[in-house]
Amino acid sequence: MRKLTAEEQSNIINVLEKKEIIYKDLQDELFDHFSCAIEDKWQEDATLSFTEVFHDEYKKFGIFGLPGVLEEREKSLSKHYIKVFLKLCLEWFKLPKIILSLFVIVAMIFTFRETYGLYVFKALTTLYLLFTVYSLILKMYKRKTHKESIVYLLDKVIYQQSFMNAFFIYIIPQFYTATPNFNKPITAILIALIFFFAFQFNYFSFYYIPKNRDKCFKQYYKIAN
Amino acid sequence: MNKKLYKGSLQTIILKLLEKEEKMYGYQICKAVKEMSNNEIKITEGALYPTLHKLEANEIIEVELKKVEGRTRKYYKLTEKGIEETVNKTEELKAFIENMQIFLNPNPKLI
Repeated sequence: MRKLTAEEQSNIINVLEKKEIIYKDLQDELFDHFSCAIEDKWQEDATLSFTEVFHDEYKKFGIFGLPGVLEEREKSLSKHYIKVFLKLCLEWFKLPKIILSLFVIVAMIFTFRETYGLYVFKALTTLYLLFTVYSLILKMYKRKTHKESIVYLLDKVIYQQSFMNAFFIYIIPQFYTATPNFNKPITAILIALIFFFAFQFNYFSFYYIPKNRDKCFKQYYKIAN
Repeated sequence: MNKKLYKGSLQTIILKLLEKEEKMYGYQICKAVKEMSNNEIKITEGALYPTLHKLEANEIIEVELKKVEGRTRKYYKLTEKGIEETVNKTEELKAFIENMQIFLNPNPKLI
C-alpha cells in the first residue's frame, strides 16, 4: 500500500501552517485526516499524484475551508476554557484561604477608615497599576520573542485572559482621581472589595492559571498508550 | 440528495455512530456515514469538524489522543452527558419523522 513520503507529509504541514492552523491539536487532527484520506485514495488507485489527491481532499472542506474550521474551533472552545479557568479559580477558595481572604478585606476596610487611609489607597493603586502594566508588557514581549509559545488553543486563551486585567486598570484610577471619602463606610467596603478582586485576579491570571496549564490540558486530553 | 435536509441531523448522526462504535476519529466518521448510507449521505469535512468541536466544547464528547503510524490521532467518545444527549436527540428525530409522515401520508378526509 502506498504511504505518504516525508516530503509529502511536510507539504501537508506547510499548507496547514499557511492557513494559520498553528495549534498543535488541530494541526495533528487535520494532518491525520488528510493522511488517511490520501492513503485511502491510493488504495483504490496508487498512480494518482499526491498534489491531485490532496487538492481534492482540501476542496471537501467547502467554501470557508480550513480557516472556517479554525474559526469555529476558537469560538466553541474559548468559551469552554474560560469556564474551566473559572472553576479552577473557585476551587482555590477553600479553607483556610477563604478566612485569610476575609481577613485581608476587613484589614483593608479598617486601614482605609484611618486618617492615613487615603495615602494607603493611593500607594496600593500605584503599586497595582505599575505591577499589572509591567506584567502585561512582559507577557507581550515574551509572546513576540517566542519565549512563551502558543502551542495549543488553550495556551492562546491563557494568554488572552490576562488582558482582562484591563477592566481593573480602567476602574481603579476612577477612584484615584475622585479622591474617595472614606468617612462613609460603604466607600471603604467597596474599594476594599475592588482591590481584593483586582489583586486576586492578577494572581490568578498571571500566575495560578498558567501554573495549572498542564492540569487543564490533561483533564481535557486523555493520552492513550 | 438535498444536503439541507441532513444539515440539522449531523449531530444526531455523529452521536449515534459513537454510541455504536465507542470511539472514532474524524476521518473514520466521514467514511462510516458514506458507507452506511451507500454514498447517499456525504458529510463535508467543513461541517464535520466544527460539529465535533462544538460537541467537545459542550462536554458531550471527550477526546483521547493516540499515536498511530507515527501520527497523533484524535479519538472521540461519548461522555455520560453525551449518552443522555444521544437518547434525547434520537427521540427528537423520531418525533420529527413521525410528524413528517402526517404530511407524506395525509388523511384524505382532511384535504
